[in-house]
Amino acid sequence: MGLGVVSTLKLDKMDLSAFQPAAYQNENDNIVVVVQLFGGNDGMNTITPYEWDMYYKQFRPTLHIPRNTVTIINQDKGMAMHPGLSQGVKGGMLGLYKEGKLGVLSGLGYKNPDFSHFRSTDIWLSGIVPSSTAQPLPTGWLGRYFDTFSGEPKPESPYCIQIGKTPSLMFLGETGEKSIVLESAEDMYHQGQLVEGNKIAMEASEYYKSEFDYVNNVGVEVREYSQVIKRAYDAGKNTENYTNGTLSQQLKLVARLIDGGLKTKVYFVEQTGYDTHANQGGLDGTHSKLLKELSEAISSFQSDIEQLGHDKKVVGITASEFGRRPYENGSAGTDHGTASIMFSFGTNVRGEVIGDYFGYFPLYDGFNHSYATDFRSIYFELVTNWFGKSADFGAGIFGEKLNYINETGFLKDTKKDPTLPKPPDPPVVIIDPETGQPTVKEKPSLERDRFTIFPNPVVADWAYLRMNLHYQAKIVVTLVTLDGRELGKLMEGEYRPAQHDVILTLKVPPGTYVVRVRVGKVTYGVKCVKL
Amino acid sequence: MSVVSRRDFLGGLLGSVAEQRGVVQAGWEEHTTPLSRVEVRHLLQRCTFAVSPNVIDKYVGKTAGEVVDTLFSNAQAKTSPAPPAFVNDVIYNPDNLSGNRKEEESRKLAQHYGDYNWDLGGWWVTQMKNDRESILEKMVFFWHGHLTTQYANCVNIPVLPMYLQNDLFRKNFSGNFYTLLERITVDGAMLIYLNGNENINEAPNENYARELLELYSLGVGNYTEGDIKEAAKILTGWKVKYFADESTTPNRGYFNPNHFDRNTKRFFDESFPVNYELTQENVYNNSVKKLINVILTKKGDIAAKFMMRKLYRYFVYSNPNKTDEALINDLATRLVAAKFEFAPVLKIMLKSKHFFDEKNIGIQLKSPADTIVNMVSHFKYVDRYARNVMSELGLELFNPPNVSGWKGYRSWVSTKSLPTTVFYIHEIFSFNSNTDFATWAEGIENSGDRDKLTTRILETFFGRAVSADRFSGYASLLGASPAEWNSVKGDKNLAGQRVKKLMENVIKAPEFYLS
Repeated sequence: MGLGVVSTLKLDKMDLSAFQPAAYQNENDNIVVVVQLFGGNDGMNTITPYEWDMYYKQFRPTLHIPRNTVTIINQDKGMAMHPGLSQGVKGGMLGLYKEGKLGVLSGLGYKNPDFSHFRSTDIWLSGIVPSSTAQPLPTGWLGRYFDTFSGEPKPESPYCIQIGKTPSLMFLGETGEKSIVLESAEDMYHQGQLVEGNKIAMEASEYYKSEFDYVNNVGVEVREYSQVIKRAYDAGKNTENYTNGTLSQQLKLVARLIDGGLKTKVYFVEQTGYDTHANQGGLDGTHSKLLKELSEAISSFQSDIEQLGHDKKVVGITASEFGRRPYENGSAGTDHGTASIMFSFGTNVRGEVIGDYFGYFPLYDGFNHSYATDFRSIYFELVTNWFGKSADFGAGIFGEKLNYINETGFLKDTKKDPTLPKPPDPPVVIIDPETGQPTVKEKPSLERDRFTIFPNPVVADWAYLRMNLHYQAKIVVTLVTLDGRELGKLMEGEYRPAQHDVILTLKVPPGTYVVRVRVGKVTYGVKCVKL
Repeated sequence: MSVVSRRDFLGGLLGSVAEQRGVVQAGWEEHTTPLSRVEVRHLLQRCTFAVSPNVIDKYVGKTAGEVVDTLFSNAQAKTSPAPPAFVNDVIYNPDNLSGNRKEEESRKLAQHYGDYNWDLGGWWVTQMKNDRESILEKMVFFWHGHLTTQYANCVNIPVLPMYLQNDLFRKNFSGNFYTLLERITVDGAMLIYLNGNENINEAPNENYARELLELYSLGVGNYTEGDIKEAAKILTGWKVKYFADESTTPNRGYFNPNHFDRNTKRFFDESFPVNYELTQENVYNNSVKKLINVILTKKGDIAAKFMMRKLYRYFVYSNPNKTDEALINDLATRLVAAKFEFAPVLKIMLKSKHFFDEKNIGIQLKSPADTIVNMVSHFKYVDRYARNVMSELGLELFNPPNVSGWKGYRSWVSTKSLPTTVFYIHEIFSFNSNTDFATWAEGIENSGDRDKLTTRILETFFGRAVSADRFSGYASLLGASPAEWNSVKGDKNLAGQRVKKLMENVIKAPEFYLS
């Protein structure tokens, strides 16, 4: 932690005076497009560990993306791209990667991950990594960014535009919403003409005034911005084909508004459906379809924005609330997890894999990946390098300075900054499945579960089965003769990653047996001798 | 639809930037002078979703005490409305059936997971719009936003448990907090929503225990992570099943001793030994009821403040200042003294000089339920569509945005929701002919008088009266002069056209969004 570090807790209620007075007209022309993948994208099926047996056999026995369908994007790091990502114009996102315009940012997450859908969503959108579960996450990182201009008159174009329905926490500042939400420029214009767009002078009743003015001002803002947005929409155009998918149409609108000269700095579009707890599917499944749509949308947008001549000032990122667990669940889906990947796109991004493959990181608690880079590093780099603010300014937004991903960042112009704090160490394993004890030692996730019978030979009608489990799983134990005949079930249950000793009753004639242990879909055998 | 959560732990973020409305000196002493029109309207706007001038007429001149008591006794009489037809459906697990039966049950089940949840919203809109003289629906909606359950999840919650939960809120609309918390803890929909169903001794699921303390009773900072872990263990073993062939009490919580943690637990320094036979009743009494009892006894002051602050923000003003906070604490003391019976304390609040102070009139931001239900109580529309409109405006019944419920206050009026509200109310208007508008106006007493009609229409929809200038602007939409209105009012087409024009302007006014 370097100088200028503000405690995260302070972000509950930010002291805006800590910022140097900023002038909005001095902001550069750079634009960010945030593509939000709602529901938590499954990173492991987006970029697959194509050479890893464990991926096919243990993590994703039914949901894996077959090896012969993926395209290797980095052999050294063992990473390949889902075939859906080659869909779209000019080879889709894979095409962009080959042209050096797509970054694959791996290993993003945060400390003490929260598995509540809502809480984790808020953490990503707020850009606050809370120090406790009780810490409020009242504002979004872009809300706080644009709060710094709150003393000034509203700019000609909205600070941010969200294409969608619901205002996102990302744009909520201490001083109110910083985004205009719309689904269509024409609908918005039409609706904007229906509202009361004039300021009504309220003289009497001072105490009533603040609520009245609040509502009145919302109307005035709607009227003004609906006209500004419509003007830009009419002046702009698209040159590339887009599919009819929702995300494609949203990005088409963004490209047109940028072309029409809107000065809005951040555009937010969203694709829903990534919360694939059930029926995620493999190559033909829900998740694969989402990735295809994502690839079609981003590739059309990038091609369009290049042909329109705005590509130098536009970068895009994808963001999602959390990753998903490596192990598929029992409902042909995956559950909320931790570390994952993000994409960046544009002519100004480093078109390469940045960071090591998160799938190979140790499982910090036995069933969730560790992370290597705080996701806020990506936002921090946008604030400092893309919007041209100082690292201290960035610390004001995020509560602390953050190092760039891989220290050199994801933008071409980013340089190593030795004054930034060191990237965090990979989180420690909490429970050592070998000893059942907490430990600080790192564990490779390749470790296999282990089972031993003691005492062995078995002298009485019972024995202990010691299970060293690395992942939570359903365990079924049966007794089998040497010629493979099942004699019966000894035990069944759901167990957490740890060391467990369970008693097995073995009322069988003397001889040699195999205790067969089924862990999820994998089977182990332990020989034992009954005296 | 995407769900973006706005979990606001302190509940006052937007408020922190707003100017306060000024200090209201009046406290909880009863407002005893006969109620004026403005005061009756104020009370009805806050306590019902549907306001009508003719109902206002009934109560002008009565005291706050009389009217508030009536709003409660009327509510008590209406807690068992006719349920929607599908409530009587009995569903068998399609997996246990074959052939036609299997197909039929699967089809039925799909409706219960999907469409019927929307229909249930439509059914609730009907209850809300017909409830003009009781506090019932406002209270049911309060509990729905407090003890939240979303039907829409990765796997939806079917409609029957959602209905039963609504019925629980209805039957206990102003009742006892102990009872409500006990019942909601083993409520079928809640057991699914916050994973109580999966809270088993081998792997306790802390989801419900956490929200019980954090959002439903005490608020953050009033318990430890250890308390959550112990509460989760205390609540292990409660299950719910949907199918008639798998349960004698489908859609309701039941106890399964095989998943119950039999160890002694410690919560808030209280011991929870398991020294009783594991019957459902014993466990309900010794675990569920005891847990709620320990929370509300050991931390009663905190819980009472937490709840009364929320109720104050709901009924009086969403952005209380320091003076108000002191009054809230006073109400909390009364709630503890009333052993967590809400009715007597709510009555004190709603009958008070504080509630009727001029400064508290017209300063609440209306929710989409306030604006849309009131509108469809006056003009023809389809209640199920009204439910959809509210959903587009950010208030989907039976599906709050997240476990902390709707954020309320200024979040109801945004650059997205304001124009969308106006747009959809035009949609509602388009269901009505000019004659419909004229007939509606004729139903208002003194509608022959241009200015009286204008006044009545504005008081129906506005949080406050407007300035004389703006009033004459609205009145002139009916007729260039009172006499001119007299000459056209017989022509239903023309009169209706003008009433519609007036309404189109009413929904644009800032006052329309205030209550």
